[in-house]
Amino acid sequence: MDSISKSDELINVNKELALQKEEKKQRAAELAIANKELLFQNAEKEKRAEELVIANKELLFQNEEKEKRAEELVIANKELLFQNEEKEKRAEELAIANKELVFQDAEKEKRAEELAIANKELIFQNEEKEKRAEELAIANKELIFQNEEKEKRAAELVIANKELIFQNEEKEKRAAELVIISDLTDAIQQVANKELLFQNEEKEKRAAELIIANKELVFQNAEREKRDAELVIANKELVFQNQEKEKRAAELVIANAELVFQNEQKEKMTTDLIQRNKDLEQFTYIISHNLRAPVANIIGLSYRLQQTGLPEDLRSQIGAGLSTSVTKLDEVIRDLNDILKIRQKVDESKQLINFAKFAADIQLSIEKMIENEKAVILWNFTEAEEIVTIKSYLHSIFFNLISNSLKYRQPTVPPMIKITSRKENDKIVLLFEDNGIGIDLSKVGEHVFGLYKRFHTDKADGKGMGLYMVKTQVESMGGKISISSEVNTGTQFRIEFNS
Amino acid sequence: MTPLQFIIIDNDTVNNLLCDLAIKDAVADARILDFTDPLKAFEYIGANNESNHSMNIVLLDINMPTWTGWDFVDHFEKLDEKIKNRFKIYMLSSSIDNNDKLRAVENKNVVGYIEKPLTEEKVFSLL
Repeated sequence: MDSISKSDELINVNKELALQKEEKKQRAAELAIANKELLFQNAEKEKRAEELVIANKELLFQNEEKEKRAEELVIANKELLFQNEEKEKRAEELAIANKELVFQDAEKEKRAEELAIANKELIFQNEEKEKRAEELAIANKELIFQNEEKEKRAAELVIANKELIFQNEEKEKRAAELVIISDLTDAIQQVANKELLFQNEEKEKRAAELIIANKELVFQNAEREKRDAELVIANKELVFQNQEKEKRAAELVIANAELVFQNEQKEKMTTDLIQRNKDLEQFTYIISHNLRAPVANIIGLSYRLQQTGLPEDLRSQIGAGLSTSVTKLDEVIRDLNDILKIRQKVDESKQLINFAKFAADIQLSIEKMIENEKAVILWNFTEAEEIVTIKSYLHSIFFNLISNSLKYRQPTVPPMIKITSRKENDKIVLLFEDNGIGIDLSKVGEHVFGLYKRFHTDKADGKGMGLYMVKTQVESMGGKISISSEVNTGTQFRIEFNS
Repeated sequence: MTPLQFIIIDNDTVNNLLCDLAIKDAVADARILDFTDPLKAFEYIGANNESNHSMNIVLLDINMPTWTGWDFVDHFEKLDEKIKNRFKIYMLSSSIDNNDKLRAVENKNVVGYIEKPLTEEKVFSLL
């Protein structure tokens, strides 16, 4: 009876053990599902990391494109500099070349603007990528948190397994006690117990492996976070480089504008120099003519003098001719000296001159002449009372213009000369008006101010120096003189001083 | 045959005296006309459209105070062909500038260029 009840009890214990074994199987299955979930999450993270790498490559490619475009701009600018140097060398072609340059600059400005737009686009794209990287960083942190949770659960599983092992050991002990009671069931039970032990050890190993795998995942996540942070920095650097390139493009545009301006200045200077050169050429030409003319006469006359048997009246005519020619030669040499003095004297210091006082002094110095001609000189200097200029030149200008007006007066009308000063755009302008016989400018035109030019050969004793001297003096001070005239009505000279 | 006529246009009277002497040495019966004002000379030539068949040699100075010799030639160009055909213009100048000589050669209304002073030999070369 005892043995039967023991055997029943043993059966019950075994049933209990079998039930526990079922439960352990279930828990192992749950663990396996949890691991699969983890593996799936890791795979997702890898995909996201790959997407990030592709995005970065795209960004690098765009930056290289920008660098290429910036290099092209630098090359284009070097080309421009070279062209400008060429233009400097060829002053005569400057006008055409400058127009071309202006056109090219406009094109480059357009290109620079296009570059600026492209850069803004890149900056926008970089900002978008930065946002995405930040989102990724947040997702990574979430993953790390999940992994840590899983690690905790795995650790709990390990503890639960240990507990199971402990319970199993307890049960083994009890089973060993049972073995003593029944040898038959003993063997069966021992085999079953060993199997269970082995299964428990396997589960412990797998739990340990899962812990290692989790740690590895955590490490990989940390690495990815670092890489993301580096990518964010690289993006910022690229944005900065783009801004720098934009700045350089803007600087190049400014440099181009400066070059265009310098070219224009040089063109002006060239035009000025060409004009001065023409004036000088004309001066040299006139002087050589007027120097050679009396010399040619002297050659001819001295040849005649060598002839024998000249009639007395012809001999005296030749003598007079010789005298005239030599005097003329002397005059030309003196004129030459006077003219060259003006060209040299530009450094004579300028001084402040009061027009009214100055005009009064001049009037006093030619009082006799004014009285003889019964002339009236009126002046009004209220608009511009003073000027800083070279006194001796201003004297020559006043003297020559006033005496011209007296020389070329209308025979029946008393001469009237009006002198006025004006201010026009910060420049002082002097006007000399008379009521003289005037001059037909349509006939003589540009010759009016020419050296040794005379237009009223029947009148007065001019030698064609006065207006030439006035023009030379005005121009040597950087001013301008112009004339308007009407026959039998009068003449007006307008002098614009460079302030 | 009507005698040859020389027309001298120059404001320099000493030159005109020398021209007179040189022309008379070369062509004893030549007619000589002096003008010190080129505008007066132009008036004379422009009015000279009657049946005067004589050939005229014009000795024209370049550097004069009113019209230059070139201004004179420009105005001469506008005259009637019948008149122009009777006047052979020579530039007579003190200039030794080669550009003046070239300009004279290039102008179809100018026959030649003579450097001052005019001599008998130079007058012969015109005939």
